[in-house]
Amino acid sequence: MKRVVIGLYGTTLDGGLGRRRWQRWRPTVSLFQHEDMMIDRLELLVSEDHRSAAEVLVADIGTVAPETQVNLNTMTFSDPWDFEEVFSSLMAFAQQYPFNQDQEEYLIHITTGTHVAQICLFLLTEARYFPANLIQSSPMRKEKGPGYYKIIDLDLSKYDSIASRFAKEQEEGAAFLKSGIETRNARFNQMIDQIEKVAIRSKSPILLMGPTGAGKSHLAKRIFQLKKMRRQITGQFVEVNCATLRGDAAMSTLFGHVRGAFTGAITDRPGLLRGAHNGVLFLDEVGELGSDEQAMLLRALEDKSFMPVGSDREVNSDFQLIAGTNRDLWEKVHSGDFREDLLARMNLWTYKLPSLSERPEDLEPNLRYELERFAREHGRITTFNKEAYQCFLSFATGPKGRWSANFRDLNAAVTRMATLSGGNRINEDIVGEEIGRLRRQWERPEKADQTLAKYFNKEELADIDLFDRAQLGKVLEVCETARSLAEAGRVLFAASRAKKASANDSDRLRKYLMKFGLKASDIVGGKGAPPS
Amino acid sequence: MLFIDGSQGEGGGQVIRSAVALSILTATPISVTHVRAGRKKPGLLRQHLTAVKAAAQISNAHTEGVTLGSQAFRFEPAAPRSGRYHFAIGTAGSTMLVLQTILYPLLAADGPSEVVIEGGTHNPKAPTFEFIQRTFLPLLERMGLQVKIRLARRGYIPVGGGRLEIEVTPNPNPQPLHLRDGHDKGELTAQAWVAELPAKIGHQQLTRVGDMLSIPRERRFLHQVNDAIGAGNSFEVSIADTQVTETFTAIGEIKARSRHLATDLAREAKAFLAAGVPVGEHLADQLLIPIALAGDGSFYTVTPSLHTHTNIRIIEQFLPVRFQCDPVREDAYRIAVSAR
Repeated sequence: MKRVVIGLYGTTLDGGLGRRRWQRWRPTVSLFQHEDMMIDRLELLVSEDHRSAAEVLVADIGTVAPETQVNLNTMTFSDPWDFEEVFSSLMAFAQQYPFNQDQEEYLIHITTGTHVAQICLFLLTEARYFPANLIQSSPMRKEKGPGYYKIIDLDLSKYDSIASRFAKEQEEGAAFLKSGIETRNARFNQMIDQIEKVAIRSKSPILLMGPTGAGKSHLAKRIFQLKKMRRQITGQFVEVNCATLRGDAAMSTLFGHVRGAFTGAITDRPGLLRGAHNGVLFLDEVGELGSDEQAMLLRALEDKSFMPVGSDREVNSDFQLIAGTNRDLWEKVHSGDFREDLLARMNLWTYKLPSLSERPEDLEPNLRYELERFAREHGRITTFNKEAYQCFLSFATGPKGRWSANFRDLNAAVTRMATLSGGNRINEDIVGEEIGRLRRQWERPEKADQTLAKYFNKEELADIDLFDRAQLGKVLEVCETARSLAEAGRVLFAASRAKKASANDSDRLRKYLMKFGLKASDIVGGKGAPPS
Repeated sequence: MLFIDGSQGEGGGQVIRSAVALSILTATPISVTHVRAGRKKPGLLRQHLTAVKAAAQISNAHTEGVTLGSQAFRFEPAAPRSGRYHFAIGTAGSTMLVLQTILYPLLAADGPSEVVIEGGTHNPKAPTFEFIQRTFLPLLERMGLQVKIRLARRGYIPVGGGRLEIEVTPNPNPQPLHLRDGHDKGELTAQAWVAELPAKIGHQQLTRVGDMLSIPRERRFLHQVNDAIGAGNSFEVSIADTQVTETFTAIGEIKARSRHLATDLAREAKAFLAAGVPVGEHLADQLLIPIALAGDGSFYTVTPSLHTHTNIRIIEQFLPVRFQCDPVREDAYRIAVSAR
């Protein structure tokens, strides 16, 4: 293994043409004066201006280390204190240098050069642009001599504190569940604190409610990882969206089947519940589960055992259930679509995840998180310029930032912007385009507007005040679903009816509709009016 | 395969140099272990590496473990080959110690050799050029061994850059050497060399040594060296005698006070004169291998050092000889070698 040192010519410390230079400690020369270290090659980086002085240094190295080959590499900084210039020059050198790690080991000498160069060398070595260890030289304390040297292998665990300086120390417990995102919403933080305690102490089912994209699946996975880190579970994280489980396959996907249970069941299938043994089963959109599956799931929760399809023998699985839903499950219980006993079983720890627009103060930390995630996944660090950042943030946290798909939208927006920036900074143009894209996406007309569109064309709608549009939309919606005008009136004026003895609600409604040129009889019962 | 414990006796670089030289001379493969064990920086350092590699080069040896810091190595030599050699030593390592390693193999080679060695020529803990030329080589010549040595440039630590040019005429059968007891206390000469340093330093050394040893002023010489690459200083006392002109040297070191160096040097010379023998401590070390190669020889010297004892033990491991080391009076010994 050959040993190669790469270092900068130190214009001050390495310099000196006079004979007395040998009386001084010169860091680069000193590396070659140690009895217990041999260097096969030196790649000395030197600016054009100092080349002739560096040649003196090279000759001096030849005297004390005749076995060493020295290569002079020209690297001229117009301003050696300019971080950008120094960093990019050194990086360019690192990228074109033919490193041969099978046969050579590399040492980056960080004692010479401006402090800017030293910092850049450290950063490039730490980032493995230089596949090297660092070497540091220092003069003798009292006597004369070559001084000391120290080889620093940043991969050694004793330098972990340097390597992990970005890792959030509090990535424990609650912070872990938040993926280290420093959320500021008090209610959200409180909820996470409690989930942490529950996750660590309890094996009971957890029910996560919240709109689509609010992070139910992500949180479930973090709960699993937290439990695994605390060594409370040994099994796997198994995740399934119940909306994708349809028909006969649903049963066997969840609970497995035995060979020959039905046509096409060629082999045994263990099923997801058994896959989650000693682990966590996350059932997303649990409200979509069919009634048979609900019954079997309840059994599995209560007895930790169930019957695979076609089997006459029970199998066991001990898993923790986390269920996710974006529907009101109580409503489903009332309509008879969901088993009350199953919901009761799952309802011990129920949390409602707020939507992103409900916690605008958390948008910024989540934006930073998404940027970091993009950097991790694509190996490319992307940032906003200041103006673009402010612009995006004010849109995102303002009333126009609807985030109807929550984190899914934010994730997509960051991915698009980071991709379009092509490794450069995200600028105002990219943010402007993205805001437009998001607004178009969210501008899908609301139900009330859809209803209005049936009765009015665009020009007519533009003539109606927003104030009236909202009311009219809802009124029409009720009328469409009602069987008669009287029924619609009863619904629409229910509150005032309760106070008054009698009222002609139908008339009141007819007059209201006439104001907008609509005929009540055309609307009631969902007949729909011909566009006027 | 001969196994050599590198930690025996003095346990330093001398064991390695002697073992390697004798390995070539006796065509004995060796395995050296515990190289410089117990030293602050154990194993082969750069100067030892250079010596072993030079020896390997002249004998076309197969080596294993001859790497920096290695604490065990194997050395399997072929016959020494004459020729032109050039060795450059890093860290201002001593050219004289490399010469010591390759000299006898080249004297036993198939033809004359020319060797250039670059590095330090005046190092602490190593013979100086003046000692080799004035004191040692004349004795080799008496044994029929012809070595010419020229100092092309002085090299001092920590820079080195000195240059030694050597011509070796081989002779496989050196003659025995017998030096009789007694010293006729001939003329003493003090000399000092300064390179890139104030002449005052040399003057002080000469005054101190000269006064302590009562050397007349006209036999004190100061030389200003102009062609050395780095700064340096050495000074010496030479003592003439009909058998041997002994040389005692001190190397100026930046950390050491000149005055103390001069005092120590004068004391060493005085002790030698008091012993009344022809051979000083360091010369005794140098004479062991040649008289062992001749198979017969003897000399009178001061109390042998650990270095000398170690060297004797190493030589006896390779050559069919026995050394005898008998005290003759206070601080005077007779060392003799004979075939076993």
